[in-house]
Amino acid sequence: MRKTYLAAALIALISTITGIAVGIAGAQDGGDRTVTDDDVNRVARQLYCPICENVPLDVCGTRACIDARNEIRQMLEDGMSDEEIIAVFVERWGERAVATPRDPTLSFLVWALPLTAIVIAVALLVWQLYSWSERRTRPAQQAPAIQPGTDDKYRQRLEREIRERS
Amino acid sequence: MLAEIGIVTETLALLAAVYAVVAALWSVQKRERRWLHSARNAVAVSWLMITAALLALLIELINADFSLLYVYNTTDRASDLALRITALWGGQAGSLLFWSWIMGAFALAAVLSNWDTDRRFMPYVIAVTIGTLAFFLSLTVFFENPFDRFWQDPSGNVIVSALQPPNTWPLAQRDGLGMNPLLRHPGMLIHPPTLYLGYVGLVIPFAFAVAALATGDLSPRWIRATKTWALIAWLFLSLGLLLGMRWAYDVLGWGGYWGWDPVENSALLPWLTGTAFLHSVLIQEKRGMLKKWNMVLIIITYLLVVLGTFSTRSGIVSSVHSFAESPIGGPMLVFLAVSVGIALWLLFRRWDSLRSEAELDSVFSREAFFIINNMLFAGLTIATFWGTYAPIFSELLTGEKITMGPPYFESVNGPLFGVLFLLMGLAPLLAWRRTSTRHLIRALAIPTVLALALVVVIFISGTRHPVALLGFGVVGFAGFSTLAEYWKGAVARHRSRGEPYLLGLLNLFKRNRHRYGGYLIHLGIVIIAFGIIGSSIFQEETQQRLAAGESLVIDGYEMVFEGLDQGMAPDGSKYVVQARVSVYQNGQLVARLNPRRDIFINPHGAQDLTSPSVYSTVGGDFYVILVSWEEIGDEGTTFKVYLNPLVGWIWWGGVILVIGTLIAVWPDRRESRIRSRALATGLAGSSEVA
Amino acid sequence: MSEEPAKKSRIPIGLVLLAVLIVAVLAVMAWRLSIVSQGRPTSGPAPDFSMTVFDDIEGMEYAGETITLSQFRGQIVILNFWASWCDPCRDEAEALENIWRLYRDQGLIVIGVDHAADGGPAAREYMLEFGISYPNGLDMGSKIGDLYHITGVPETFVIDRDGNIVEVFVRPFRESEMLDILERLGVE
Repeated sequence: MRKTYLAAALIALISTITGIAVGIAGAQDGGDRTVTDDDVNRVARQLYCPICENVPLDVCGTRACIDARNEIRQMLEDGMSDEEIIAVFVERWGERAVATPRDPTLSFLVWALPLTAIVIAVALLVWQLYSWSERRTRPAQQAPAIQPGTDDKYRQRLEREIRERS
Repeated sequence: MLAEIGIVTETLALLAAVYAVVAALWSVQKRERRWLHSARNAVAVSWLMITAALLALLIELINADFSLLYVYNTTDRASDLALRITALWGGQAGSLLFWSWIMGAFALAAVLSNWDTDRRFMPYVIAVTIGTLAFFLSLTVFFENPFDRFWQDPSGNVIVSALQPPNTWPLAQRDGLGMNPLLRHPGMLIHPPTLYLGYVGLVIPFAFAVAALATGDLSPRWIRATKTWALIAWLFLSLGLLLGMRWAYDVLGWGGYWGWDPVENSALLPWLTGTAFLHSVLIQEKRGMLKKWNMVLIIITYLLVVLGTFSTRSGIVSSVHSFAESPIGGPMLVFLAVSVGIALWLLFRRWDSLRSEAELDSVFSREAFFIINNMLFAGLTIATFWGTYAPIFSELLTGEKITMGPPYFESVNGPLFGVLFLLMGLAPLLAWRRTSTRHLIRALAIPTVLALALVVVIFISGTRHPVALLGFGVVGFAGFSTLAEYWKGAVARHRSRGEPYLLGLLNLFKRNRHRYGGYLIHLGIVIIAFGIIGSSIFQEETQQRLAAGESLVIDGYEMVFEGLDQGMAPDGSKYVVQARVSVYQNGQLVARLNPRRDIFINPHGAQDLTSPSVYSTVGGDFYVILVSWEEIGDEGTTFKVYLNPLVGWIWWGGVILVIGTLIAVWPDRRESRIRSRALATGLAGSSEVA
Repeated sequence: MSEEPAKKSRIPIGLVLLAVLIVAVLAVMAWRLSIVSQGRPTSGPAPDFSMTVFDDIEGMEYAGETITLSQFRGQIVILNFWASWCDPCRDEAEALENIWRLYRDQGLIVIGVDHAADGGPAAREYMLEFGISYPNGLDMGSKIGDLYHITGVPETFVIDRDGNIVEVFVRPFRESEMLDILERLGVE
């Protein structure tokens, strides 16, 4: 029982990370099998046709998309894996056929910016909070040392230097 | 005749708006009150003229006058009254005029309600709001005129023009094209107007910010004057987003409500910065910090509002929802550059005067957590912005077109939202300035234990998905922490005044509407988040072809296809094909559903609309739709069934959010008393001057 | 507020950065807008492209070869964008095949571009149904369609012997119209 839970958790984890694990698992039983609408939709969901932009292929009603889904069905019946089918469509339609680009350069372009932005933001935040609390503590220690009404900058500086040396 | 009235009034409205801007700025130059009074009156005239033009267009739509291109494009004879009214914003030209009308109304209301209290700001508030209005009006007059008509010349050519070209005669089409069936939904009746109200409402705080920069009055006055405006704008924007989601869920038939489409994102972006703004202005009010940031935030919000309008209407992004390509892109971009340029220049001039009055005392303080909250909203904005416009950048840099779909947004925005919920739970527990660790731990204990208990319960009930458990835990923590605030408040009132707990709770709202209304908004958001996590992680679907009498099974449900009904609708507007299905859960009949397909017929051809049918419970929706591209008949009909767990929570959370916002913006008697006192002294001051 | 008057003349780096960023975004938008509002070319030199001709259609000219538009300089080119799911394209296919068979000896070539989202078995059936023998290929990644800024199918471009576009149909053409144009270009 515990083993099955573990396996389930593992599968869930992998599928959230890659989002394609199910597809590969589905394709592995191979051979000549009946392909259901759900199988077709599983692949189609990951594709975007150039005619209906931003509409996943599994819910697109145009003739072009119906033809493409029939082709996917044929490919599945021929025993192609989900990944192979997706690759065919990426070659034919270009990188826009998938939800996020697969080409390494484009993929880098797309993912690098948000990730760098997040890293920089976190760094900035930490630095800012640090410098704020730093600035807060310093005047608090100095405040009593400087007598109110001391306008003379030179004297202030002198006092500070004396303090620092001591 | 009505078309002429429309053309004349919209032109007069534009002239009055331009005059108002000039007169308002002139009043500063000349230091003369009467120019400002004149500007104010011109604002009123302009708005009345737009109202007249809008009414003219409305009557033309209701009368189905197909000599107008706009009427021809958006309605047909078969449309009923509600649809004809909706057509007012169903197309580019009409929606621009409608946008202008709302802008005019908001500008007028903002000017009148702050006329006595913030007189110094008024010239600039008028210049910014009415300047924006004048720009949108000029688009309707010069580029997208809703009163363009058909004309025919002697050789039979059809010309479209607002004014009659020489040697032509008017031409009226026999029937219109009718509205896209996808837009024929009650959600569509109110979704665009609410979204516009949200957009336009955000222009008001921007105008006051510019006024503060221009006058040099950098006190929180501009924030106080516009806090309610910002909150109302935020309410409408939230409502617009929720209604849009509901419309997508009910009509588009793909089982979801949010597709991270560029048009959806362009409405979400100002919502993100607007939400950040609502939080960060609190710090400026309470602690005199973040002055620069608030200015930047409201300028960016304005930028995103206009940019969103620009990108959905110019065809630069490919989207399901975008308007047809239109010549207004260029002018809009120029306007955007000029207005943001001016705002940034003003900000640059005042940059050094906007220094913080206080410094952060401790990282464990409410202001520190608000700052982190703002950083997260900024991060969400950047990530969403990038996801929306990356295809354009990619095409520019590499020549390759790409799609940015849900996986990108989910994996980048998901964690950011997660941390945001953590903060939502933590921030109310912290005091301003600093909080002792001991106090913090004590305050944290109850919500943390409850959140962990929730996770354990969900785990025991069979959910093993790690992301979902984490999500539910974090969101639950935020919810429990907020509830604990109410509980603490009620207990405190009970102890100190002996009020019964429930009365104490009610009095909490009375005493501090902003705070406890705000917490109610938090609770609404928490419930929405539960719905989003449930429906996006645990959605199930199946598609099967059934003959009458056959059934399909999905996760404990059995759906039996009983048969088909079809025929013309009684009003003759459409042909309806409707399936009868019964849904059984554990062998018990729970619902009879009727997914259907409507075929709208008009002289220009048939248009198709498939409507899902839904069985809703607290636990989730059973959502079934006919697959329209497959053959439909008794011997075989293809159904697609989605199970969407917890999706109803999104709508209920939305209702709570609206109630919370209304409580927060409801005029406070005490506040208005202070206000009227200030007004009296202000008036006394001005009478001295006079 | 008046603590640090010495800081006054410092340039606010954050603000400048923000301004630069906004300018960059607006510039990209302007670029995109100029692309979107650019219509299809209706005259002047036809944009050059290359395309691999289907290799599995019996009797198709250049089967399996990669052809470029510029290699047909000196010939009249009819460039036709089509898709198997487009009904009006079907009427044209027959006319195009007739024209190609009639005039290929006089220096005329018909190039069929199978528009995006197509290319599967349906496209092959389509070509076999009409016995198409003029070269046809798949518009990989819609690159050729983008080059000609097409907005749908069918669209047909007629290119003269000097490589200039002389006629554009953004709708199905009638065979007689096409014959008139060809006559003007010196084919009969």
